[in-house]
Amino acid sequence: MNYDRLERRLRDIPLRQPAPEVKRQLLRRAAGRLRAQRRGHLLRWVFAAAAGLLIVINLVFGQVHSQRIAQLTGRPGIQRVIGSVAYAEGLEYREQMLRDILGPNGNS
Amino acid sequence: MRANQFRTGNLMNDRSEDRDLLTALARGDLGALEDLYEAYAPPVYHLLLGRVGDQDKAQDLLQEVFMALVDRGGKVGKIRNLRAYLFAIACRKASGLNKRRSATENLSQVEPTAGDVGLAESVAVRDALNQLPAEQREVVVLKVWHELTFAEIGQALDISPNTAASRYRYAMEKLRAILGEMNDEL
Repeated sequence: MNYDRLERRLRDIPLRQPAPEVKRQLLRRAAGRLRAQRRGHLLRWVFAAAAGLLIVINLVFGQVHSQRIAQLTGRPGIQRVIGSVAYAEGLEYREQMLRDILGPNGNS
Repeated sequence: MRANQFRTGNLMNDRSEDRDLLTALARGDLGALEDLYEAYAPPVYHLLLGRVGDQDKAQDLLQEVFMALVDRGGKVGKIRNLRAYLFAIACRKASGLNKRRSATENLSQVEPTAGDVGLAESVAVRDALNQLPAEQREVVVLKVWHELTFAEIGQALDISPNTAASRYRYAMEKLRAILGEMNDEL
C-alpha cells in the first residue's frame, strides 16, 4: 500500500513544539547537577587519596617503630618479646602456680 | 514560513555521533546535552504529548527524561541506543503519571495553523488524527513526522516491527477514509 501522498499531506502540517523555556530550564538544572557531580567526584578522589596517605603513614610509622624497638632490645620481631625479662618472669610465675596446685610430685 | 521547518527528520541515525555526544556529556559538557536535546526533544515530546494529553505535563516530563540522562553521570557514555533509551524512559514516566490521573485530555500533537496549507486543512488533519486510537496515532506521528523505520518504532515503543507496521496501516487507511470524506464535502 502506498501512502506517499497522504504522508506528504500530513507532513505539511506542523507539530506542536515544546516551549523554548523548557530547554532553558533544562540546561539550568543540568548545569547545577553537573557541577554537583563534579564536586562529588573530586571529594571521592580527595578521600581516597587521604585514606591512601594514612595507610602509607601507618606502615612507615610501624616500620620505624619496630626498628626503634629492635635497637633498644637488641632483638627483632617476636624474639624481643620472648627474650624480655617480663616474659621470663611471667613463665616462672606460671610454673610456681602449677607446682602449688599439683604438689612437689606433680599430683593434685 | 514553510510548515516543514517543524519536520524532525534530523534525528541522529548515526550512532557514532550519539556516542561522541554521550561521551562528552559524561565528562560534564553541557553543550553536548543541548545538542542531544535539539535532536531528540521533538519526537520524545510528541510521544509524551500523545500519551499524557496535556502540554504542560508533557513539557515537564520532557525535562525529566533529559535530566535522567544527566543523572546517569559517568555511565551515560555506555548507552548503546540513545533513541530507544529516551523513548523507554518517556513511556515509563508517562505511564507513571497516567496512573495517578483519572482521565487524560485528548490533545493532538498537530498544531492547527493558518500557514501555507490553510487552517481548514490543519484542523481537518488534527481532527482526523484525534479519531485514531492513541497507539495508532503515536506510530503515525513517529513514522510520518519523525521518519522512523518500523524497526526503530518497535524498539522505541517496545513492540514488534510487525505490530508497528500493522498499526500504521490501519491508521493510514482510517485517515485516508476520514480525510477523503472531508475533502469530498469541501
